[in-house]
Formats: sequence, structure tokens, C-alpha cells
Amino acid sequence: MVELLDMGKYSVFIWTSYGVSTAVICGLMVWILGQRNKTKAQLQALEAQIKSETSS
Amino acid sequence: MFSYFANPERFQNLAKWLVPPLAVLGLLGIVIGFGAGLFLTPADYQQGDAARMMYVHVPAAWLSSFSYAFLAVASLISFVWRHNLADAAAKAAAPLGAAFTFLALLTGALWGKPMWGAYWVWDARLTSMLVMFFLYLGYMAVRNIVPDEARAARLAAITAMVGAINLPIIKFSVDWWSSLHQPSSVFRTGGSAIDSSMLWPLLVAALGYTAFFGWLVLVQVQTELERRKIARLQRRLTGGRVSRPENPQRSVSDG
Repeated sequence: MVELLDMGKYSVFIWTSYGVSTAVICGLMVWILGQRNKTKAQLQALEAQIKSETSS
Repeated sequence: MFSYFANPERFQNLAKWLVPPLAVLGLLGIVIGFGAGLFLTPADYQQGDAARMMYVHVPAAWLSSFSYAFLAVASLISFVWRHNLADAAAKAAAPLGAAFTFLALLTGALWGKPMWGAYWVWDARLTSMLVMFFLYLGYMAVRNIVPDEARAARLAAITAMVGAINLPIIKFSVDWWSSLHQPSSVFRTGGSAIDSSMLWPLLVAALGYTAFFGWLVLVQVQTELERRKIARLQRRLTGGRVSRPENPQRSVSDG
């Protein structure tokens, strides 16, 4: 396993490249999907509020 | 044609269909591309294992330019035809493009140090990529700084369209000027210069990056449409007593 991960004298450059790329990709995903869920919940709450106001 | 695709209802229906396959294709492509780039492909006969950085650098560089072209075209459509969906798509592409340009610059620097002996050189390709990164930041800054949303959208669209002049400069910089950066190895006359054992993970990763971009652009446009709907409903709730100026661009409900 360690042998597989060992990239010789370039290890630090290679693993930093892949590590930062993975972190940025995951970060974008979490940020964008988080915003979507937040907005969706906000819209549902607002629609429920309007519905209850119009029915009362 | 633009009116057909700019209809928000049609867009929401299309997005519902497109989001799941794009998400799967994007994530699978990235995982397979990264895994193969790290563990399956052979080391280069000259660069050794350092060539493995190509599988994260090249797709990021391709996507950063593709994303800018997308931003510029969406801005043009938004500017000329005043379609809100095109504006939302441009707004969505900017942070993704900036992130992938950052990755292209960073992974390029990490490859440059062991291969060229320097993290950075003021080479035409590297400098034009840096300019593109600043153009993305400029676009996002304009959108955030200008308080009126419609005015911000138009100013940002102009920024994006003017900045498109940088795209051919990036593409041809390695041909026009003497450059440390290698010329195109994949899309060139005479076929790819890369062996198929190293080419397929590169193409899979590039496909994954592009699908990932498409997925997250769609999700952001969906979010933006919902935000605008929230604003409309809030105005309705307060009986229109909201001081924020109405967006003079075509309403999303108009299509």
C-alpha cells in the first residue's frame, strides 16, 4: 500500500495537486448544494406561510 | 430559439432530467480519471511520476477556458436579449470557472517546480491564465459591489464580453510567443502526441470535470430561480412595500 502511494521525489507535488483539487471540488459541491437546500427550505416555508394566511 | 430555452418552466423540467446523470457522470469521471492517473497509467519515460499531475492540471485548464467561453456567450445573450436565465447561467459559471482556473494555476505551479525549476515564470500562457483568473474575480466583484441587481448584471456582462479577447490569447500563446509551456499535445494536426494508455484517463477526467461543471451550473440556476421567486413572494406578502428596485430585465415568469 505504502509502495503504491510513494511517488518518489515528486510525492509532495503530486499529492498536493490531487489533494487540493479534491478539496476544491468537494468544497464547490458542499457550498452549491448547501445553498440550494437552504433556498429550497426558505421557499417552502414562505409558500406554507402564504397558504396559511390566505386560508385564515 | 433563445426564448424557447429561456422559459423558466421548460428549464426547470429539463434541469430535473439533466441534474442526476450529470452528477453521476461528473463524479464518476473525476474518481476514475484521478484513480487511473495516480495508479493505472505508466510513469512518463522522461518526467517519471511527475507526469501524473497532468490528469488534474489539463482538465482544469481546459475547463477554465470552456467555462469562460460559456460565461461570455451567456453574458452576450443576457446583454442583447435580456434573458434572465442566461444571466443566471453566467452568474453560476463565474465561481466555478474561477475555482478551476485557480486549480490550473496551482497544479501547473506544482508541476513547474520539479520540471522547470520554478513555481512561476512570466510566460505568455501562464500570464494569460492569470489574467483570466482576475477576469473571473472582476466579474464576481462587479456583481457583488453594484447594489442594483440589473445594473450589476449588465456591467458584469460587459466585463465578461470584453475579457473574451483573452481566450484566443490563451489558446495561441504557445504558438505566437516563445514559451516554456508545451504546445497542444492532444488536439493538434497529425493526431494526439500522447500514448493511449495516458490519454484515456485524461479524457475521462476532462469529461468528468465538464459534467461536474454542467451539473453545478444547473443547480445554481435552479437556486437563483428560487431566490427570485422568494423575492416575488415576499413582495406580495408585504403588499409591494419593498424598496429594492424591480429588476427591469425580463421577468423569469415572462419567459
